[in-house]
Amino acid sequence: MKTLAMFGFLSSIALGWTHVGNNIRGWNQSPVTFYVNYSNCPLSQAEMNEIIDVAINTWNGITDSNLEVKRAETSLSINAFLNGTATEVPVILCDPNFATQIGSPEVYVVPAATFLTRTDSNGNLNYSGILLNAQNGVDANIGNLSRGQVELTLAHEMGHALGLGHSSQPEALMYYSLGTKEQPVMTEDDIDGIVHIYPRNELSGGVLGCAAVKSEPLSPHSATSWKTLIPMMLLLILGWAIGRVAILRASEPSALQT
Amino acid sequence: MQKFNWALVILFIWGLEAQAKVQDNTQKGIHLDLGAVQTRLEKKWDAPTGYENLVSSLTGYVRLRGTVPLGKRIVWEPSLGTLLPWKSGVDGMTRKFTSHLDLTLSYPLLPWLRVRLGPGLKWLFLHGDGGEVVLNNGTSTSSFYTPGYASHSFVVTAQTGLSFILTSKISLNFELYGTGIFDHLRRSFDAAATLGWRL
Repeated sequence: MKTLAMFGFLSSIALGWTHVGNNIRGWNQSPVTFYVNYSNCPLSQAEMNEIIDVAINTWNGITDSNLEVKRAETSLSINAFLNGTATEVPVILCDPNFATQIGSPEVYVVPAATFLTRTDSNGNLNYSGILLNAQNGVDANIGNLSRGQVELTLAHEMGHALGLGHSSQPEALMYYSLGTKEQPVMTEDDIDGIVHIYPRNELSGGVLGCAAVKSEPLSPHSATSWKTLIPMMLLLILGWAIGRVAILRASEPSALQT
Repeated sequence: MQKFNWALVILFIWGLEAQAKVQDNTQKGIHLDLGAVQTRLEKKWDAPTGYENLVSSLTGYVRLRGTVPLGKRIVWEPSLGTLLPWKSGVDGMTRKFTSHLDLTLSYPLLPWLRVRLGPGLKWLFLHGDGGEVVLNNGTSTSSFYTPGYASHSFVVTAQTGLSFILTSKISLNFELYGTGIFDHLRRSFDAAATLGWRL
């Protein structure tokens, strides 16, 4: 009991990450494809792609997660997305009437926002979209931001679309404010948050980062099922048994005992 | 510099003494290793003014390691260890538990120096109590939710390291853990330094 109490204490690291919904699970698709409509964007399609790729790679580079993100082009309109019936989701759209969605004072300071994040009956994300501020005459129009700030903004909003809420840690990518940060770099807090939603299980697939991420579908139970513990326990028992046998065999004087 | 030289002399004398004791240290038995792990060596970044670099962290590490001679030179060293998350964070609503199961083999380079190599498994356990939390969203506040379910991640690791046999009871161990080593985006390395005591 003392041991249990000790581990309970030791494992009580305090983190600041949250989810966008109660008991939310990841997208039931792998890879998660962000559909992009370049219409109305103040940046060229090539610039947008470069920025989106930086944001995508921020989320793709997590060792303990099976999350894989990619992009594709779409002609989906803002109205079709806001109607809640789009099939090409999550989506990234540039909104020239951003004030309509977010309000008049906010449009001057908010460069992007994630809307209509919804889940299915299993808790898996199945609808979400990122609207980028393309409103003329406002400072927060993404065309007025530095390249790094747009990358940071987009990576942050992708985090919302992938299921993460805000973090209370100022250094985190999922903190509400850009602050003086100039590039999308994640902290341990962001990493733990996304690993919780998209855990990686190499006991059930490829190893050493080769195949598991592409072959393992995300299921609503993949994160919590105690079935994932069974192989670990079997491995532990096997290791103990091998060690026990080896120790018994080595009980005879060996060549090392001179 | 002078202190460094003295440290080398002490290490050398220790090494001489260790030559006589090295075989005891690698006989069958259990070792308690205590030390620290520096996580995500490759993801260090230059934090802007006023921010801390919180992607790579220095964390305590405790491990039980067996030594099982498999012949004249090779020793099988299975181990089970856990990171000690003694670093405090922002709030107390999420728990994290990281452990390593390693199945390594060691081989003597010198009488008092062994190289270790082998596979392992990293188990990351994340859990929260659930519940709503209200956080700033820039212009007002929004409701977010702390995790209400447990999540387990298992990743295979490749481990290599060096063990300095200091006495029949004590060893100094340096290890490098690699995960996702064939994936350039996911590749990550942790480094561990532990002082081992033969129980």
